[in-house]
Parts: sequence; C-alpha cells; structure tokens
Amino acid sequence: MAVCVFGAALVTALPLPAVRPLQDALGQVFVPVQRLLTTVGSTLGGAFGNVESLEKLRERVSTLEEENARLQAENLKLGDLKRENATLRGLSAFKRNRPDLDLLGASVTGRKIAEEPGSLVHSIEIDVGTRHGLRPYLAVASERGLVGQVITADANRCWVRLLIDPRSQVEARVQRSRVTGMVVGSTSGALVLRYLPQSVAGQPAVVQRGDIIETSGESEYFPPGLNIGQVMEVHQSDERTHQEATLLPSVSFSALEKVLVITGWPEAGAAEAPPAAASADPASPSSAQPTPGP
Amino acid sequence: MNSYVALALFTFLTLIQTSVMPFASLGFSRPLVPLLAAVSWGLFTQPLGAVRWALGLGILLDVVSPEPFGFYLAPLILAALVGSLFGRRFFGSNALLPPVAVAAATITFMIAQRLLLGLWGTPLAWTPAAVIEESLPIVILNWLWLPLVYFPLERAARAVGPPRIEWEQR
Repeated sequence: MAVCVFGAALVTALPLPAVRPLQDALGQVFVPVQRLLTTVGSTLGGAFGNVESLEKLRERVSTLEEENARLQAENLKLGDLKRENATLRGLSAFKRNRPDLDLLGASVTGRKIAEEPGSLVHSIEIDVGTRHGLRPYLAVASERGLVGQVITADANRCWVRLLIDPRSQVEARVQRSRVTGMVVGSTSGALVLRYLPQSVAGQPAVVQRGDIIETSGESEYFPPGLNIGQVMEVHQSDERTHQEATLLPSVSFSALEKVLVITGWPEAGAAEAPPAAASADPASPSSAQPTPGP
Repeated sequence: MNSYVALALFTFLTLIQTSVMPFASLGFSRPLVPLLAAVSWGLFTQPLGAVRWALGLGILLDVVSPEPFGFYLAPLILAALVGSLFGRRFFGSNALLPPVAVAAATITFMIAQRLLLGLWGTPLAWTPAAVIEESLPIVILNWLWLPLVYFPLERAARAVGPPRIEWEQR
C-alpha cells in the first residue's frame, strides 16, 4: 500500500510526459471538488473571521460607551461650573455696580436640604450666620434683585424669608413714575404692589404693565434701588381709593443658589448710589419700611 | 412600634420633607409626607396612634422650621385626627378610605395653618377660591405620594401589631 502511494506521488510529481494525460484527467475530477471545498472553507473562514470581528466590535463599542459615559458626566460637571460661573459673574457685577452696599458673599446651603417644610410660607436656609456678621432683618439679594429678609440667625446659618412669603412687606416704588407703594407676598407665591394712588385723567398713568418695581429705600432694612419685579397686570377700580398691580418677580425663587446678604449701605440722604449697569442691576435709590418677623 | 424606631422614622420623614419634597413641588405646593404617615398609621391602628405620630412628627417639623413652634404641630395633630376618624366613620374598610382620609386631613391641615397665620396677623384671603387654589394641588400631590407611604407602613403595622385571626370560609 505504501509502495503504491509512493509510486503515485512519484508519478504525479515528476514532469514525465507520460503522466500528463493522467494529470489532466485527475484535474477534471479534482477541480470541482477543490472549488467546492474552497468555497466551504472560505465561508467558514469568513464566519469565524466575522465572529472575531464582531467580538472586536463589541469590545470597541463597550470602550466607546464607557468613554461616552465619562464624557457625559464631565459635560454635566462643566455645565454646572458654567452656570455657577455665570451666577458668580452676575453677583460680582452686582457688587461692582453697587459699591455703596457693603456686601457679604453668602450662598444658599443646600437650598435642597433646607427649605420650609410646608407650602403656605416660603423660607430658605443659607450657610452664613451670626459669626459672619449677620443679624435678623438684614436684606438678602441676588444678582437679579431682592430675595428676602433674614428672620432668624444661628452661629453658622440663618433663615431667609422670601419676598413671596405672605408676611413679607417691602416698601417699593414704580421706577418710571417714582410713585411709592407696598409689595406684599401671598400664600400662593404671588407678588402684589398695593396702595398705589389712582391715576389722574390727563396725566401719565401711575403704574402700567411693564413698569419696573424697585425698593424705595425708605426702610432701614432695605437699601434703595433693588429690583423687585415687573408689573404684569394692574387692578384698578373707581370704587377704591388705591389701585394694585400684580408683579412678575425678578428673582426665580425656585432656582436660587447663591445670594448676597446686605449688611450695610450709606445713610439715607448720603451720596446717591451709582447708576445701574445694563444687565442685572437696579436703578436709582429711594427708601422703604422694614418688615420685622412675627 | 419601638420608640427608638419611631423616632428614627420620624427623623427620616422630616428630612425627606425638607430635602426631597421641594423637588416634588408643583409650583409652590409640595406633598406632606409626615401628614401621610400620621394618617396612614391612624388607619392601620387607631386614631390615637395617628395623634401620637402627629405629635412626634409635628415637633420635629417645628424644630427644623424657622416658624414659631406649633405651626406644624397643632395642624398636624388636628389633621391626623380628622383624617383617621373621618375615613373610618364614613368609609369603614373601603378601598377609598386612604385617599378620602388624606384629602380630609390635608384640607384640615391647610385650614389650620391658615388660621394660625391669621392669628399672627398675616392678611389672608378666605374666599373659597383661594382655599381651594392652595389646597387642591397639595391634595393631589398627597394622593400621588400616598402609595409610597401607605403600603410600607401597612406592612410595618402588620409586623408590629397583634397577630391576625384568619377565619376559614366554609
């Protein structure tokens, strides 16, 4: 058997003229089989190759997903930093534009961890207290305007009653007409400007939609010129001696993060406050009444 | 329920109310988880149980709040009592008992707090529209959060309560 195989191999290997026809005949038989086997082998080899590629692709996708998650987390942090930067720039601009106010930088501590438990009254807790120079009844503001007033203070924290609280009352004025009134909060969080005199026929309206309302400065607790809000609707009746206006607060109380506690400003009648800058700053001063707590 | 466990639970609920519920607010209205807990406990046990829970929760809420002491304690006790009594009296063991009790308790709580604010000199509008405008969102929010409080407390009440007698049906 081995001799026969050797002999067959020798015959096919050696380029003998006599074996050429035999080779041709064998080729006629082998070629289709070889072609079939090559096709099968190629398919199987491709499948294995695809599995291997698929596995590599899966690894690649997993790596990219991890990278994507990391970049998304980083992007969120950058977004937070950007917002904080914008807030701090606003507060910094507010301080630059109001050098008459002795401002103490303060931030709302976890407004998320300290809010009034109920819904009828509105207060927040901030992370500065008496050891930072705070005391009750100090005004609190943000770069957008008046936020509220300190009502209680411990060594390291204090509670701020927001402007929208139903017990909050701030003497204010219409920036355009300089007419004074009183801004009060409500249990629903609405701001109302009350005790405005009725408009006189033939003269410019005392108050109209779009007017800016600011602190009048007559109070020893609220400096003048702090932005309070904008008139949305005027409620006027001939049967009443005064008219009222509903305001849109300038401060977004649900999005408060950092606030400034105003610890002092020049006496009333001293040098006028510098003119407000374009963006986040109230205009000229005036005076108002304090609102002590209960 | 063990006193220490109850105290820990009350503290947890108070922290949830001040730190988590602001995120669940609808405008300026937020759910009252301590109220839900007190009313639910009263429904599982007895109205006196609701009062005890309201007492503990109300004290803690007044401690963390800058408002005068009693601003949460008194309305919470009254609301828990009304909720647990009202529901039992009119609805027995009906499936509507918890939401009805919570609604009654919530409205009682809001009116009681309004009364206190009025006593302290806060000008308030007492028109039905104003009361409904304030109370309705809170009632709805309380209903939404009720399952998260009611069912876990029901299990806890079964765990600490006396063994139940199951009657065979023939």
